[in-house]
Amino acid sequence: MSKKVMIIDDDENTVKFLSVVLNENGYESVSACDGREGMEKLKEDRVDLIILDVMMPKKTGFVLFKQLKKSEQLRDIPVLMLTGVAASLADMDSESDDTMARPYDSLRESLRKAIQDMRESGDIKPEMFVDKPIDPDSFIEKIRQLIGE
Amino acid sequence: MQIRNRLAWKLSAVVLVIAFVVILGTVLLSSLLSRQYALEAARGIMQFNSASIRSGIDELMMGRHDAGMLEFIEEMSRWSTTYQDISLVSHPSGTIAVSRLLDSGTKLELNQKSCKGCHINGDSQTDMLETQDALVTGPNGSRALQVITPIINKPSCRTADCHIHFESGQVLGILQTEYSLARFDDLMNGLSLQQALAAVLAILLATGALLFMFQRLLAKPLRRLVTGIDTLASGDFGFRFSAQRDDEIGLVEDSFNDLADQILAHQRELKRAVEYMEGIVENTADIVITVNNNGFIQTFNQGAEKALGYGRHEVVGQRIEMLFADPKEREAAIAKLQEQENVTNWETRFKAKDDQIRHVLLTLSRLRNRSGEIIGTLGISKDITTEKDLQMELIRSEKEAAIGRAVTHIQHSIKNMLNTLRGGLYVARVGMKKNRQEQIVEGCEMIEEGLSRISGLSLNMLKYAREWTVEAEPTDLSDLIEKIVVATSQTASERGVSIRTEVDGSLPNVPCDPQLIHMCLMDIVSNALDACELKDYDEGEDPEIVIRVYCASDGKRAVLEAQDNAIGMAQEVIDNVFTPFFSTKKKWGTGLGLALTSRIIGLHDGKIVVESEEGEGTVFRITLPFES
Repeated sequence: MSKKVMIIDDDENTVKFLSVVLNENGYESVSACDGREGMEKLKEDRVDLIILDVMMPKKTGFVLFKQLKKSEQLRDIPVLMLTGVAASLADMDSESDDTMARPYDSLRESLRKAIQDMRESGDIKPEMFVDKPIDPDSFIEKIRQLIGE
Repeated sequence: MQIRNRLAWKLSAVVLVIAFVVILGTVLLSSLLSRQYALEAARGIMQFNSASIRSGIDELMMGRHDAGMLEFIEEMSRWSTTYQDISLVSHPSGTIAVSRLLDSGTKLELNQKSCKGCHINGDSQTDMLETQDALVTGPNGSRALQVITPIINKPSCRTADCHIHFESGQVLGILQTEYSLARFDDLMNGLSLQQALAAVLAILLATGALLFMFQRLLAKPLRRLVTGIDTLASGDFGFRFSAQRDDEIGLVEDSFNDLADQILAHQRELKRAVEYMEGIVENTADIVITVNNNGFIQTFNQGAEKALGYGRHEVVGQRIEMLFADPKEREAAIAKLQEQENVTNWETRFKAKDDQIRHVLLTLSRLRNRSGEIIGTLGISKDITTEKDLQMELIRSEKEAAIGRAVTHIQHSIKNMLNTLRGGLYVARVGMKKNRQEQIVEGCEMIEEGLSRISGLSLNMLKYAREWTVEAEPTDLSDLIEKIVVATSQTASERGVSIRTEVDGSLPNVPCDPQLIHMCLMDIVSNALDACELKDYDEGEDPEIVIRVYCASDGKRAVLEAQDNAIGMAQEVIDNVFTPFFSTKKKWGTGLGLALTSRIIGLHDGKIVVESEEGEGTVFRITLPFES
């Protein structure tokens, strides 16, 4: 029986794309367009992996992630986070000229702090971030590392 | 000062002249009087002598002793060297009978000086039968006293043994004696010389005494006063006279002391005032320079030294142009000063000693003296080089930040678009491989969407960068917001957002470009609709947008307002809401909408402000001016 992956993202195109990628590689996929729908579907359906977009309306990926970790049934399901900023953050950190990123200072700081918090609590590992645009091969590689074939 | 005519000398000279005149007069008068007195005494004696001689002659004649008479006269002549001559003259014939100097028998003329004693008018007749005397000049040139004693026919003469003179009262002869006054005059002259010498000595002594007294009483205290005044004039205001004198000089010294006290007090006050003023000018951090009418630097304060690196000794007396990076900038400032009394905050550049350019704000004023004449120019400059550098730095960094934002944003947008394109391509390829028509279409749709996003971004960027011109026309703003409501109604109803309007009917038409204002308001309302989407509304609360139009309280501006009850914004977002390429929208925000809106409102001389509270909602308020 193939493993089931839940994709929670408000961008239809991303959902569609990731579903095809997953299906092509022998995984079954379900999707939700926001956190609320995702939580409801997770209650009905048991999945092996959750792919969570960080930036979503209504509930951000981090808020949903924390809820997942609080839930007894869902706590152990691995989570892979999609972000448009993970690579950007690394880029920014390496920038010597701070003025480049000034307008995003507080946003960047809050993101970094959130990521830092998760790392320190031991709930989350660095390899669980996937940056957009998503390369299908490395994406599948990461999923295989997490949950196997 | 060299005193050429000392006061004591002058006074002494005056006294000397007066004393000389008085003493000389006294000496002359006393000499004259004593001479007169001595002469009178001599005359008395001489007359007595003459009378004695005549008595002797009488006796000898009565005794008919003619030879004895001659002997007697010669004896008398020998007896005293005083007698110059003793002669007996027969009268009226005038023939000399006996004489020491003249020969007997010589006839005397009536015009002889001795004759004139009795014959006053040269007449032969005279009543004068008394002894006469006269001063004559003797044969050796010296003065002589001549005494003439008449020998009168007395009653005894008619009874004499020798011969009888019948007529009585007749003058029978004349006894003429002459006494030399040479010794007398010598004596008198000697006496006068002694008196004169004594007088001169007295005058000299008196003058010396006066000189000494003047020197002591007047000149010395006066010189002390002069020394005091000189000391005062030389700037030593501590000098005082010890007030010991009780005369007029003492009064002057007291007055001097008072004056010195006052000058000292005034001087101290003045010094304090000057030091205070100098302190202000000197210690201000600003550059304070004064220049005379010919453009030469007069003063240069500490602030100037510090800012420009010159010591004041290097620039005072030099031309002011040396401090200007471009002397023409000074010319321009001075030209402006000709038009008005002051030039304030004139931005110009000084050149420091190390050739560094200092940016300054220069304030120029005319320097006038008490009578209002212009005596130069006062320049106070504030060194704004640091501020200027910071400003340039800020502009540069803001430019860089804006470029950074733009690049980051565009990169981010492109990433999302690439994700869509790549996703679409992948889906289409899988569809082709598996021969699933449906999947091919899906993939192509994704590619189309990605492409349309790219062209949308590029269009938006063009739109933002474009030169907008306002074609203003009187516009009914209530009409305009109705159009907005119509345009957004479908999206709003799809998302469950209600849009309502509040219109102030009294508002006149407002001059603006209706298409541009429509675009702006559309952008704001679209943002509000997006924001509503992001909020997790509580039960009983529904997403709502209210669009208002009304007249501002000053009656001169129209206000367009869009209020929502959506997620609101954090302070950081509020601060950057009009910044180009700043966007909080997840995937497709260009960050250009509100930046463009703000620009367009600015082109209308209007204003756009935002009020927002996180979780509560946001109000965008546009004010547009109109002529009431």
